[in-house]
Amino acid sequence: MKSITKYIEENKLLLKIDSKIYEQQAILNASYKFTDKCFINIELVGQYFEVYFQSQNSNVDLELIALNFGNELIDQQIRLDSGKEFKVIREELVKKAFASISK
Amino acid sequence: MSYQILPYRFERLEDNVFLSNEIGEYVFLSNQDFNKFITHDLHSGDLSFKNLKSKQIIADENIDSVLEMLAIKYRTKKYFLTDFTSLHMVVVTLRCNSNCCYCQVSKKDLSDINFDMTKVVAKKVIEKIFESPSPNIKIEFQGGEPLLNFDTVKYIIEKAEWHNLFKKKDLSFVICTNLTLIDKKILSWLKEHRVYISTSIDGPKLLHNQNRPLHDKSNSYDIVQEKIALCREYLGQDSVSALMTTPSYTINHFEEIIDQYIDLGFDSIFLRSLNPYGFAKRDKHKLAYPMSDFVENYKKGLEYIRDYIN
Repeated sequence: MKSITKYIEENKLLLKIDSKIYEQQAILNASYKFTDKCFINIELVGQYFEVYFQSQNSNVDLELIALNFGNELIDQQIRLDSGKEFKVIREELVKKAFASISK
Repeated sequence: MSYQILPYRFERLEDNVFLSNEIGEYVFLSNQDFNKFITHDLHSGDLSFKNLKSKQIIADENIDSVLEMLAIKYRTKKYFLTDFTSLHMVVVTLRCNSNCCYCQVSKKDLSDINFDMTKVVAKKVIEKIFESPSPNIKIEFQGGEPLLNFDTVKYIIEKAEWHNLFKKKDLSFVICTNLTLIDKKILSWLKEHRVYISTSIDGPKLLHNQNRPLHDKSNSYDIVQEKIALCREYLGQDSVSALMTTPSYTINHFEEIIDQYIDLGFDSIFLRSLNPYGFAKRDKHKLAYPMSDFVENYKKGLEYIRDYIN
């Protein structure tokens, strides 16, 4: 199965997202960016997060939302990954910066 | 290209990507260069590579010395932590007798006394302020119009002076007031406790009265002008400072405003743009303007001051 699977029906969109590829926090962060255009509900079903979008007005293009959500999800996952990657360096920086003060 | 990516954050804008790091350095990259940056495909000759390297977002050699440099800059940026907070703003009431068009705090009516700080809260505020390890403590009273709750202002100042008998800090007070309620009795008290005054003058009479009408529709400019003279008589020539705020219909009048400050005997001016809070945010359709307009007029204002000095 693909990392994101899309279903669109009238003013509703369902994205099924593989939790082995994207973290829950990335999905929540990405979803937040679309709350001005859609009502959003998220459920975990087995290995997949199911993100339900319901457009708030008739001008919302759900096809475009699905595409943008995919890109946003990648950005959010990069932020989480780099946050973990840089955690040690960030801590070292702070330690080094205040080393002379703590002596 | 082999390079180490150092801690950074990013945000996509309309046409490009904004990157910043721990020390507040920042770079804008095209979407294409951002993708290359992430996948380590930037080349040392690329302009983006050089920008990122100069801002310590990437490093291709001597990574230890780059981290050392980052740490030094980080220490400088966070230097305020060594002494911690010295300026404390205390909002003693949200009530006000002015109806300023851009009021940042969405002031409350004169009768809404529930928006006054009580002495119980004020006592806790003072205790919290004196927890600061800073050797300098400045307490600035704001509102609303703080003179509407002058009892609490007096309470805080007297409590602070008492605490300071033991703490022995460099303690100072400023009251930010529209001046309209100040009188000789209040001024005598402020003089005794060495309280400085900060007020607002938005320019010549017409502009000032348009921006800062009083609750009872009386002429605020004439009152403020008279009260500035009274303050100087009691507290000294340099005891009052003033600033102005710029709504859209003031933005082309900086020269007249500067002239007015000179006429009123001020030797400094703060040309302040509109802050997007309170009534300024609510009425932005008629008060706001592009920041580029402000910058353009600000530069003209600076040139006008420079010419005046010369």
